[in-house]
Amino acid sequence: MANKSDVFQRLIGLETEYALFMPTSLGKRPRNRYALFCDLLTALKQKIPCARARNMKEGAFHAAGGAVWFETERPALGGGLIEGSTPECRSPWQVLAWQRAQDELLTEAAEAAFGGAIRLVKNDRDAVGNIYGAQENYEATLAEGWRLAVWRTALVLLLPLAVLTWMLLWFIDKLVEAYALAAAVIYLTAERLLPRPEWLARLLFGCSVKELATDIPTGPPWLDSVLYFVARLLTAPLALGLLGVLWATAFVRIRRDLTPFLLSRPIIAGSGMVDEYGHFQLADKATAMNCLTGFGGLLGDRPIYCLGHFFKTVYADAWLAPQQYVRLFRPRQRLQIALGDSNLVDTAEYLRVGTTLLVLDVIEAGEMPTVPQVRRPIHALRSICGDPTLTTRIPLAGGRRATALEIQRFYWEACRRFLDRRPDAPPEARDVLRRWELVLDSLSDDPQSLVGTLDWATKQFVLDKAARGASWESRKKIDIRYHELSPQGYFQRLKATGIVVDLLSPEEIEHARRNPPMGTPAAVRGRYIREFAADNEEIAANWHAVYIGHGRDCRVVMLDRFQQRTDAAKPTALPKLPRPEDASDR
Amino acid sequence: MNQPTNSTPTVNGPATSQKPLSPPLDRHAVAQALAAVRADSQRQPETYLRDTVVPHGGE
Repeated sequence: MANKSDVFQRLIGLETEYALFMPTSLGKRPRNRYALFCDLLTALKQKIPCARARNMKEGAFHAAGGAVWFETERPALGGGLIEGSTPECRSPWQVLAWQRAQDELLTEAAEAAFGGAIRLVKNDRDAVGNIYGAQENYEATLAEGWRLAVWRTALVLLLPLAVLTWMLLWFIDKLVEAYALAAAVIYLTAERLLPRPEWLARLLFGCSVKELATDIPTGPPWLDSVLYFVARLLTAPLALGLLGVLWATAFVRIRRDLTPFLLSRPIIAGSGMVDEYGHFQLADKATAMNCLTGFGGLLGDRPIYCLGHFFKTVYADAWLAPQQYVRLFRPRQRLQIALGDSNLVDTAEYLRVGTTLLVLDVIEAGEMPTVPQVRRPIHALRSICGDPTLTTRIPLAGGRRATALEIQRFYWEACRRFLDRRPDAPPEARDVLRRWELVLDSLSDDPQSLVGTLDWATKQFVLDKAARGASWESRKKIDIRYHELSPQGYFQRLKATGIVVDLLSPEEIEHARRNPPMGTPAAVRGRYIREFAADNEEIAANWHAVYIGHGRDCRVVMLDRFQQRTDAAKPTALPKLPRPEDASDR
Repeated sequence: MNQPTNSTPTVNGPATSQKPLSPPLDRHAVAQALAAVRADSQRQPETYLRDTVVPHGGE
């Protein structure tokens, strides 16, 4: 009989990019999104101790173990998102609690920073089709045997190309600094010759001189476009080489056995959407997917399995800490799934993560029966999402056809047998299985009974009752405002009636707002941040280490050894701080 | 400033929280909420859609 050590043992976490509701009717030119992020971060620091993120991406970690980032997407052209990352968790219940805590913390920080004028929207697609939103991360086995050997060899062989790419990007960075200096000299010279050359300021800096003093400049749009193009051109050889190796070696068995599950998962975890033709789709993000595996945006791709974090580590993060490159040699890595919606209903979020976690456990234990492979998976995904009646049968290899419900039942049965062989599996695993079965039964018998339990059923209910015969714009407003995190948000209004099933108690969310999850690297990170950030000590953090002090006096606490599960009921003891001369990861 | 709670974890997991799949429905409250949504959704929807655009999207 297997022991429980292979059930719910991996680290998991969610990333959420939040859209902003920024009313233009206020009459003022809106501040750029980077400036808004800075205001929100300042407000967040009033609520919870934070530490600067030591990362290529700008952000901060907080005392509950999670992080807030500015996701840079063409900021000079109005882009950029506020992103929250939950701390590393061990179970779907933990993920749900810390995700809700993050939603609350950021909503309150936005309220404090903008006084309700600008609000967060937790969705995945805007009215013109831009995609963003949710990402899931699961610790998983990258490869074993010859594939692992090929992966490690490729990392060695790609190192010279990575170094060359780093040097080219460093050179570009220096050119940008030189440009900033030159632009200032040109403007100051022109100011002596021309009366109020505002047009020149906008050309050189992307804003007026007055805004330069009061706002946080993002540079001129033309420079943004040039840098965007040059960066992609310079990194393309490394990106293509790395993607090829990852495609051949990374998570191969998992991708094969998990894909049909993910393609059918929107019937449980989709948040619903009104598409450009006015049709109701089960999921917000799914129909934008255009490939199974890719880097996510870098090459114009929208993959289900996003491997972009490997590329970011190779070309960016390893620049700050070479140990990041060494970590890529390990067999356990982060599997990132981009096919998933930002859920508002607890059950949908809990089952999205919990069922995926169970299926991963079955696959990695080698106990998954032969999975029915889906032919033309992206086409099948669109068929599934476009059919709220759940009757569409998608083609499988061998000429058979199956509905999404039948595919989900196949995986449910595999997970049931897996847990039957593990009587001492965590009770939470059985709870996931039980709720999964109830939802599948309800989807078969009466999907309307899942209003308040699944997001897509709830949104469809609102559209049916409040927007029958309404214009596309009104229906789309319902689609998007359902996700607004404020009392005016339609989901929040519905929730106030008691129709929505809350799994978490207020005490659990309150606990997750203040404390990191026990038995994880986040527990150590969060406790150091609370200990030192509150005393205004210089402290920085990333997913792998905490840095206290600076320069030669910097002390580093590595978090890798806390990746193994410890007794979750006990608080993780803080390790003794190393002496400065022992620090190895500066 | 947010202070830590005591060291005993209080995110207990589902064993202590067996709630039904669907709660009982307060039809009057739901009808009121839906009426409010209907009215609000017809108020300048184009403006709301424009004000929630995320230029260039994300990951």
